[in-house]
Amino acid sequence: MTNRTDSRRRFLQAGCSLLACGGVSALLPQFNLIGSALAGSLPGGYRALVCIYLGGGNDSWNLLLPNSAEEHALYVTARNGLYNALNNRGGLAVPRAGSASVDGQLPAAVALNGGQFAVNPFAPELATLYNQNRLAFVANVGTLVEPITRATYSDRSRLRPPQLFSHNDQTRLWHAGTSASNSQSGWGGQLAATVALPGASTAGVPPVISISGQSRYLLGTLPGGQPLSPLVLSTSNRPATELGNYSGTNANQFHAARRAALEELVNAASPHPFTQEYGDIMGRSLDLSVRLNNYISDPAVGDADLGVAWPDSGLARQLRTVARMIRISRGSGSAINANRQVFFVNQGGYDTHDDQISSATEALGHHRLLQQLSQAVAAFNQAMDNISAQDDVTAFSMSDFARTINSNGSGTDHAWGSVQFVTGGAVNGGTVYGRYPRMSLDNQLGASGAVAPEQGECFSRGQFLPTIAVDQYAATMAQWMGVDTSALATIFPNLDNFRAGIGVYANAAATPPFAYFDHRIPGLLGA
Amino acid sequence: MTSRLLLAPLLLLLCSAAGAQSLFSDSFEPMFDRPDDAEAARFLNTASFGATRQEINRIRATGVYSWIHRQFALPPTLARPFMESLAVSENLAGRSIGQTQRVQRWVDTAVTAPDQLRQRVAFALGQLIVVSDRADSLSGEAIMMAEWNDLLVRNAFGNYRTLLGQASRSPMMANYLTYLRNRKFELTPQCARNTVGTPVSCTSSSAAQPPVIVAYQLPSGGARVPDENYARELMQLFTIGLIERNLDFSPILVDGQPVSTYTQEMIVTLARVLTGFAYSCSGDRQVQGRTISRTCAVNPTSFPGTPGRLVINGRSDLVHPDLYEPMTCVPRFHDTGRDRVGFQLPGMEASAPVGAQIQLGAGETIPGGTPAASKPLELAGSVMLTLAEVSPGLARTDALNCDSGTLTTAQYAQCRQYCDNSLDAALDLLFAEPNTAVMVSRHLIQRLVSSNPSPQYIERVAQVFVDNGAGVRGDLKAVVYAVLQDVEARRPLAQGGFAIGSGRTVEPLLKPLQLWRSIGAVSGDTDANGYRRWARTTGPCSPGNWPQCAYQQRPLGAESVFNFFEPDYAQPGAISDLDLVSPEFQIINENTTMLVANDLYAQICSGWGSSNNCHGALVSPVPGDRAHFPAQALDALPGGNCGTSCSAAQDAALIGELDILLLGGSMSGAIGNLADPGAAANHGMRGTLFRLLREGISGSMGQAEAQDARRREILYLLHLIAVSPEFNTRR
Repeated sequence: MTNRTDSRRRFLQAGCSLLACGGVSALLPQFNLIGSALAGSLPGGYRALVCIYLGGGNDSWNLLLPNSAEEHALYVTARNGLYNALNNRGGLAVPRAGSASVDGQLPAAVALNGGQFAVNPFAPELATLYNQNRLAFVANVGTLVEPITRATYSDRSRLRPPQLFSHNDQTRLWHAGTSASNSQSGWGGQLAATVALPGASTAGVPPVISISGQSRYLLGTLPGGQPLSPLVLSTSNRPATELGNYSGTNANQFHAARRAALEELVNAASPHPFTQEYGDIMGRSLDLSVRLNNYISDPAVGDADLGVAWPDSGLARQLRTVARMIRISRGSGSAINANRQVFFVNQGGYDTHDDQISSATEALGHHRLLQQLSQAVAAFNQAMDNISAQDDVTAFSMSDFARTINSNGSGTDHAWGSVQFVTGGAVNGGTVYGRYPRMSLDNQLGASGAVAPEQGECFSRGQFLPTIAVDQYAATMAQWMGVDTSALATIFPNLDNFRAGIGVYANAAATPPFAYFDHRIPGLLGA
Repeated sequence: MTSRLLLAPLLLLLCSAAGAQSLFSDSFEPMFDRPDDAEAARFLNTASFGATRQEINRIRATGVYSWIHRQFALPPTLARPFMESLAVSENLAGRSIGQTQRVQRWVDTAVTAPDQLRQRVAFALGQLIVVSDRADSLSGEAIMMAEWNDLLVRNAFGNYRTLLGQASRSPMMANYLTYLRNRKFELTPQCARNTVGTPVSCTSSSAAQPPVIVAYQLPSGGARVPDENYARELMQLFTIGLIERNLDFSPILVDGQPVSTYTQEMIVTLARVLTGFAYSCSGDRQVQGRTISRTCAVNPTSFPGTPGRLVINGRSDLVHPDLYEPMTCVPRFHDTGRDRVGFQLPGMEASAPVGAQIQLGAGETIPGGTPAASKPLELAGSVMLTLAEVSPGLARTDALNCDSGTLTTAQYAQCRQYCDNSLDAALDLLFAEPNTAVMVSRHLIQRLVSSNPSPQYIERVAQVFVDNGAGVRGDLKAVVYAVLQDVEARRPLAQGGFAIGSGRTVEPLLKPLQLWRSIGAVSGDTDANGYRRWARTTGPCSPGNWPQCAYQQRPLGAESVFNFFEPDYAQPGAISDLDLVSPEFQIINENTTMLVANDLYAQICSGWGSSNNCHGALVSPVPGDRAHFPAQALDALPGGNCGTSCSAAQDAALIGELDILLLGGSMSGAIGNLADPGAAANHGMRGTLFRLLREGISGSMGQAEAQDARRREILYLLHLIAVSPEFNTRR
């Protein structure tokens, strides 16, 4: 069977002898020509995006909370009162920044510059980054097909995203960057396929790299039709897992004989697509793992921790591997010499139906997650500083959805619009982009006691209707990576639905207050 | 070639005409019932954790039909009683037990238990109705998880409705999907004697000036609304799925669009049905001959506490059975449906509302309810009740108040019955939905036989789910039979079973299990308590994180309720270009293929050589804490006992046997020229392995016993096959 995956694999292995793989570098000069031609049309030298996925649906209304006296009071009411370990264990609210400490209550939130907002007390590092203008929040972003209000949701005159409130479906939409539910690819993969040098010219390392297993976010299709799928790495010091006991360079003839047989089995074309695919994956891994590990652990590239005291969490370990990969990928003298890379890391556990807050003082439940997130993001920023890559790398969060404002007794259920953050040197930080809604249940335009448009609409448990589409959020990142306007329209086919003044949305009164954003969120990222 | 192409459609045609029940009763059964060795092994690799020579011979002697029915009749091998016994013996010895022991017991059962088909189906069901020990509330509860395992094992050949009922009342599920002690939503009414004035108690009974509700107030402690977690996953994953489907799994389209099976409103309503359930309180109990005490209130108006544990020697792994036995309802917290919004699923009669409202029309005798009128805020169109009503149109004075703290035992039982009826009514409705038959059938086909079954195959199995031939819906024994004996599962490789897109990817965890079982590994554990460990842990794997460290799977230990992988995951590239799905590929990547390969090496070489590297003889004594392949098992293989003087025919025989046992005869290529290993007639995987054996795979390396050289060759050969792309596909 001569299919393209087979030919791709053979191509990658063209420089490898059967027994000693490592000859790819000999092919690099000609690839560099391709690289410089492509890179010429893109801004900057190297750029990378790091997607931090918060699996399970982060209760982001408790990450960034309102801090004016009036808005905070509404928030407290809507969240069933201030949490108190002694007498209100079902309450979810965090005390306002600057409040005096009260027995049984959580520590006060950390105020952000401007005083309008505050950050959860277990995530002070994020507040610091914000106040240093290196981190921005984006408020009330979520999956949308087109602008929608409660009225147009109810009368079905506007399309709803498919399968709202369902974990896997909403995750898929966030990864796809568009509410086309059958999409098998992700916007990270698609943008990399558009602007990044292919793996063939970056020492075999594809421009999409996951430190958390397979991720649909990183799947794409290259211009020639070939699939782009992520290299999956671990958090070990040698992050590409190597095959043991088959050393291609072991002098023992029997090692060599078994290695040769293995390569025959792996490289054999199979008429069965599952068998073929498994061989392709193993082939890539055999080709790349030892070489990549040698690059990344070369003492000449520097300390494996990049001078950072990494916190002890899975997320921090994943981001450490990302930082190490960036170090060997960035710049013409680097081993990989990539122009664009997209990384995926994942922190699970956010599906806090239960025990969301179970201690006022200890970082348990949701607070443990926020603490790990905050510390890991701070460490990653520090690492980027230490290798002077801060302006070339933007990290951002995504999550299935936010959660209901009110409590189910000890936790929260699935909701919709959410707060996300974007951080890095290219971010115009210290700002909350978008419109942070008023935290009261059952906000509704046009109802008695109607709320103003900027106060946001929600269903009765505080499931906010998004006022920024995932598409806009993602396109902002994609454009920074160098995706041009026409390619944006391909990757995000619904993007035009969110432009102000277009078609049915020209009527301002019928338009929810998000269409004021264009294709991207203005000002969030530099050019 | 022509005849093969004609045969398949013909078989399909005949099958659909014959109807599901009589599929193999006449003309087809003889064709498939007495397969050759390879086809018998291929069948066993779907219906068990690995073909063995003994089972192949049994099928050759008595047939597939007989084998399946013997499996149906075998008693279930259970985990929880064993774990309770182990808890006592380990605690007495000053050790604790945990999930590690449960997982090792599961491996021991998978590899050695006689009731292979039951265990295999239970493993598949556990990936549909997911409870995982990764949840904080269950990670420390090995006995609860063992009982969850047993619940699946006991019901594997039972009825799906029974399984749904037991799962929904299981404290394991309630912990996992967070509806343990789920409470109804309540608002406290504020009353006045007139429309203005000082609030008074709403229960005031002054006839002259009856109280009037003037406002509602959240109860102290904040609003509690029922947790929606289980309501959602019960519908999305365990029964009806997200969109309406035909019996062949194709979506039902209206105006070209799929139709959702449920709305958020239905989830809210179902969540209300699922209120009130908590741990039972059965008083003192005997477990393993020891008493575990528990104090219970009569007719409780609060949830019973968490069942306790018995402290033995300072450790406390033995738990009160209430911790894992079916929950009961505390009616005080069960929503009695005091709103006017029904819970309905598409396709059902409007006159059959479910859940809390189920008895509102006919069952006025036990409507429940309290004077504290309430309604969920979310349900548009619902009308506030008047103080005089407990249900729409039903006066408070006529009703039994299940919130009351002074119910007689008979009344309490009535209230509890109401709660149970609500749940059963909801489950009945979900079970009766046509989609449930499709979703369960497709899942079992995907886990046992094929990732991409034809629509006809799904429909044939779903028809059996709908009616087992005796008018019974949801008979899993009949469904399993239909899955295994379908023409699409049993069509011999030589007659089209090799078709592109046929078969499935092996779940990674099944690889070591199959090697151990098919090649006859044994555990070196000899402890009298019967606890036998299998895995050797090395590299990234510790005893606590094996097997997910390598295989990304762990029995009853999925990352989330969405299982280890999604049923519709399609690997990009050739697979998705062919419109195929490949669920298992979601956990197969550059990293995991190598982790699996390295762990398989650790398992295969366990005990061989001074450092478990296969470079020497089996150590003596054999490792006492894990499995190894005994010399006799290797020597017994055809071509396995020829030392350093093996002939080409013996090498070919060895490869042939491993092909049958491990690949069901599907290994590619041929060994067509024994005299010249390099000849073109030796090609494909068989040719590669043959050349390797002929040209020297390991040499003698100074073995004291020449036969150890052959054993080492066999182990190396096993590993090459185990990591090969072909071993990853089952057809």
